[in-house]
Amino acid sequence: MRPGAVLAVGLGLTALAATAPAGLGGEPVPGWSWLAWLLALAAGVHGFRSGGGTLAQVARRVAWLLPFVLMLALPAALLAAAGHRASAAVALVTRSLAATTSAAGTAFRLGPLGLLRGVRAFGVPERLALVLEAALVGLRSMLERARAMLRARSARRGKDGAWGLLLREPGATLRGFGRFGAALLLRTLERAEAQERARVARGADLA
Amino acid sequence: MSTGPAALSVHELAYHYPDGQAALRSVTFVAAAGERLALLGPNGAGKSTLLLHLAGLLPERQRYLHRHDPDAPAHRHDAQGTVAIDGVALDPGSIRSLRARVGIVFEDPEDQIVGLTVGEDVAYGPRARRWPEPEVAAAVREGLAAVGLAGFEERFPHHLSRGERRRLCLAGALACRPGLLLLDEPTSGLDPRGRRELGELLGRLAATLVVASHDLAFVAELCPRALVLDRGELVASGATAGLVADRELLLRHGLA
Amino acid sequence: MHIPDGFLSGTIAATTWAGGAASLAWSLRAERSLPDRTPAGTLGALAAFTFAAQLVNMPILPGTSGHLVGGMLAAAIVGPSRGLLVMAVVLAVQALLFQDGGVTAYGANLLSMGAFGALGGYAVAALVARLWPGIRGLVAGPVIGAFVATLAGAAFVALVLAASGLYPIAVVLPLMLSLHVPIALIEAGLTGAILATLARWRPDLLHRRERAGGRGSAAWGLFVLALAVAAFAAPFASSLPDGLETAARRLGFAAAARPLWPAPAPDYEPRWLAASRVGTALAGLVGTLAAAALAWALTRRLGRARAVEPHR
Repeated sequence: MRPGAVLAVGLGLTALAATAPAGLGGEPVPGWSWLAWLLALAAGVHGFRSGGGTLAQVARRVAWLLPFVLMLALPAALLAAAGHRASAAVALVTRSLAATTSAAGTAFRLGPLGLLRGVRAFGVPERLALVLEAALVGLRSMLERARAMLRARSARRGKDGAWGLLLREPGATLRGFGRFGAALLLRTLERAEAQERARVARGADLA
Repeated sequence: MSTGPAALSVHELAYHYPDGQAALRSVTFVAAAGERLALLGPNGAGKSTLLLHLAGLLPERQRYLHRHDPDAPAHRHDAQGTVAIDGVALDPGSIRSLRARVGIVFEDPEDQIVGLTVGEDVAYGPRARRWPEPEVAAAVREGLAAVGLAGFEERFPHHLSRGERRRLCLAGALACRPGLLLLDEPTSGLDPRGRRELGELLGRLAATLVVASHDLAFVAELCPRALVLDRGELVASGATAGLVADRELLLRHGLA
Repeated sequence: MHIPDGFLSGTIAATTWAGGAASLAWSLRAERSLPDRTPAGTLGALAAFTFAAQLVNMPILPGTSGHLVGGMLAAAIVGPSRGLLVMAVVLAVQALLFQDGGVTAYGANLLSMGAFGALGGYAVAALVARLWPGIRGLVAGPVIGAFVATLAGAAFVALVLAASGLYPIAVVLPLMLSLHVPIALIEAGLTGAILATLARWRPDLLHRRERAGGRGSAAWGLFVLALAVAAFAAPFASSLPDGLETAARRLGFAAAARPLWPAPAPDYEPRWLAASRVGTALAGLVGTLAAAALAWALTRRLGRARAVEPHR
């Protein structure tokens, strides 16, 4: 299936699941909502599997959201009409997790390259697509660089971690973070410039 | 658009950095089509700067975010002299078409890997030249095969070893079928086997080569002729074997 | 705050998506007509940087930590329109690859963190920079801008969640605002820390407005400030709820859910609700003073002889 089509189906299913009624207004949760959520969950898991992932991976990717989802869902359910609170809570949590699973599975199956192609197929402006591509290309090395710098900081500071606690020693902490951020940013810009030069060398302005 | 190896001619090329410091002083030399030329010299001699000129990347036409000099004009005319490829001088009018004939591989792979996958990265040049997709795919296959990375199209660059990443950068340059190939310290960080394989690889190419390197043994095997650059000046040129054997010359110019 | 999927109603999701797309379209057009050209690779690198910076946890106390969002920071380096492009990509990567922020909620998240952060924050920062010229204003501006933008974004999220029928706005708005005052201060502090360091090492990297003057941007800055103030003051205005309620019902937002606003009947109002309004306004006031103090403290050493510090 072409990336554009996969993205369309996956995101469409996500949107359907995310907006299916969850019984907030007091009326019972309609049957088709549960169907939509089941479909979204199944599609999401299928997307993961077909991308080479495991069920455990899906669970991990979505489960970390659970505390946050509960924090948003439970108060809303409590404010629902009496007698419907439990079903509203379950419905809300299910709705959120099902939609998230569908989106996650779609993205996993496509991978960064498929996502880029799909996004372009949707007609997203080329400028945005290029920025997205450059971000995806640079993401991994950026994370490695940041992690290495953090390790070096931690090694230098010892027991206080990378920069101490904000409330206990705000000046030193902010200064430390400022230096870290600025240094990372400068290295980032240097590398970006070198890569831009490489792009020009390979014909970026031949178009 | 001509194919095949390109002839290179440099005449009294001089270049100043924006802060006034001289980087190149009246450099003159020629390279015949298909010739392999070594560029020797200590750090700071101007080897990389010279390569950038040959690639048409200097003088810069663009103010980058990174530059220290925010008030400097966007156009730099601090270069004098000429660089000519196949007899055509590099100037604002001809630069694009001439740049299409040149491939350059920088020292650090991370500075030039711009694709999400190996295949996407190698395809960058052909796609920028608006070649039809089947030709792009063929060029990618050719480039990868030439460097021994056949079949690597779907792999991610960050999963490649350091040597493989260097070869990826070379494949990206080769996919554009350049007539002139410029290499900046191609063996830095490579183990002996990597160096040997790279030497064999480059030896098989038909393009004109200019290789800037500290690795005297490597260039002695690959390049019959060499230039020595020191503080922006061309201080010696001739048969590589002869230059490399001249211990006094090497010491005088920081090569030993 | 990244809103996950499943909490916005269909109408709100569609509306915020349209709003987000419109702000993106505006940014793309605006940045095309700028005199200098920033390569897409640089913006992408900035997006990757923002992403990495968001992952860095700043310990506030043992057990709690905060992190940078970065909309104001991006705008302070590449300007508002490009800053929004950067944030759009950051949020898209987070939503798709990390499930941080929903796909249907992308529009709302783009507006709350991207538009308010990069555009709104920049407008406020530009206003401050006019009143406080020189390098100090270029850093102090974004500090205040980040503070205001975070709160404005929080108010927007509250509005959007209420309009989706989750909670009454009288409850969620003061709650979101109070909770976000410390978060806004952290954003202001972290943004300012990086910019202050940058101002010492490479002041040329801080974005300056291409067009001198421009009453338009000052007006925008005041507008955003006014919105933020209104968010804190709104619970006190009794005529407002009726208008909001009517508008919401007419537009079909509050159709199936509970009323957005309890009827103005102060004698029946639970005491904690009244107290929360005062508490929220107080928190806003204290927070604003703290943000101003932060801006002053961070820029104290700037403008003097530039210290040459190694940055490796």
